Amino acid sequence: MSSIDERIEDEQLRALLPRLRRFALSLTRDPSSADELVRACVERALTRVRSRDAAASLRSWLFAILYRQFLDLQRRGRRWRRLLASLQLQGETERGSQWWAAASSLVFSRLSVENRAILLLVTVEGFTYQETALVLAIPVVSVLPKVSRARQVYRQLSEGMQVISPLRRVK
Amino acid sequence: MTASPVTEDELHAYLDDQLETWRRAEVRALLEASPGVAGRLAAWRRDAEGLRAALAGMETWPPNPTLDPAVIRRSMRRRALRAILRTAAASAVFGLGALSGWWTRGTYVGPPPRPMEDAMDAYRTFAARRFAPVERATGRDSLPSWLANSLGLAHAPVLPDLSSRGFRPLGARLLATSEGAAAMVLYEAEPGHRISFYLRPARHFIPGTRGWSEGGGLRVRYWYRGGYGFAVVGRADDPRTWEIERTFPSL
Repeated sequence: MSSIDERIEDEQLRALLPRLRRFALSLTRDPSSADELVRACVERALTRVRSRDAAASLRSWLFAILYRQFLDLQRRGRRWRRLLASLQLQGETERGSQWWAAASSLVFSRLSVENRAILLLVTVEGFTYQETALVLAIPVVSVLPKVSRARQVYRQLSEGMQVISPLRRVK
Repeated sequence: MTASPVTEDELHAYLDDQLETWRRAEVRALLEASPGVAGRLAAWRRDAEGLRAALAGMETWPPNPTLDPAVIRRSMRRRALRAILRTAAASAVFGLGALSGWWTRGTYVGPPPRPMEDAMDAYRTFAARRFAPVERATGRDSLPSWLANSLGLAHAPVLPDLSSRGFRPLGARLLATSEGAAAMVLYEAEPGHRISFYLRPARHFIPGTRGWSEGGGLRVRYWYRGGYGFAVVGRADDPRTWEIERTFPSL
């Protein structure tokens, strides 16, 4: 039933699924919403795969689709809003060596959508500024200032966290 | 060659390994010369490592089989097929309707009209009712004049006397037809056994036309006279219906 082309595409897509899910989770901050977003992204990708710009890597093309879909959904439904609280509580349940990781993810979850996307793409995924610009649909020159700003905000929030966190853990 | 001062953005590009090779030496020189800048860069690096560590665990989520491209492809095909079938079904129904409309153009669609069908309809609708089958109860004296007034008759009609067959009048009800008001007079022998006498304006039938028909467990006997149609309707399985029919003088 499926052609050889389709099977190659499916194989490439499948390999990227964990990273798409991670990006989706960074944006939605809720696992089930994230998977919903990934499914929408894959569907869109499968219907548009023929019209894909050959110059863009499959990875950045997929990330771009996912980001655009997330913004669309956010604009439409606003249904992600209720999910905000859950991740903020998770930080408090982390222990010992996991504290730093937990604090990071807690700080991360408090960033704006764009800052989360920037930091995930550049710092975690190791996207080039060029690829990042493509995913976020912004000019390349504006990527670096955004990276700079996102890191500053993250730093400020982290410093704030370290002051607040011991107080929280005493109760 | 004098180097231009290293910018904040270039520090980030250096951290991200995306700074042009020729500028890297200048950044390294700045970091050695300025512990404050080096400290900031180290903090960002720590943040980045922390973030990578925190988000690394996400790659080990339990896989979600419904996200597999092959699965999504299949479900998309199913949905597309369903949509096509829906469209096809809709156009088939519409097409059939249009075709049959063309095919039967100029002909009457539906069962052929039977004379005094409305007498049977009235019986079915009202005579089977336990409560309020009539709108004007007897008083036999007043009923004929009420009917005359309601139907616009010149003379009060003589209502059949069916008491010899065990049927007493219950009353009457007015009904609408395309040719004007009609009336149904109901008689009852015992609960559930009723006979109706029905009259309506009927200008389009040749006087003297008469007949009977049966349908849906009912039997109707009808005749036309003086621009009016008359009918007697009763249960087809009740022999008294037949007997009463024969008592009408015009038959």
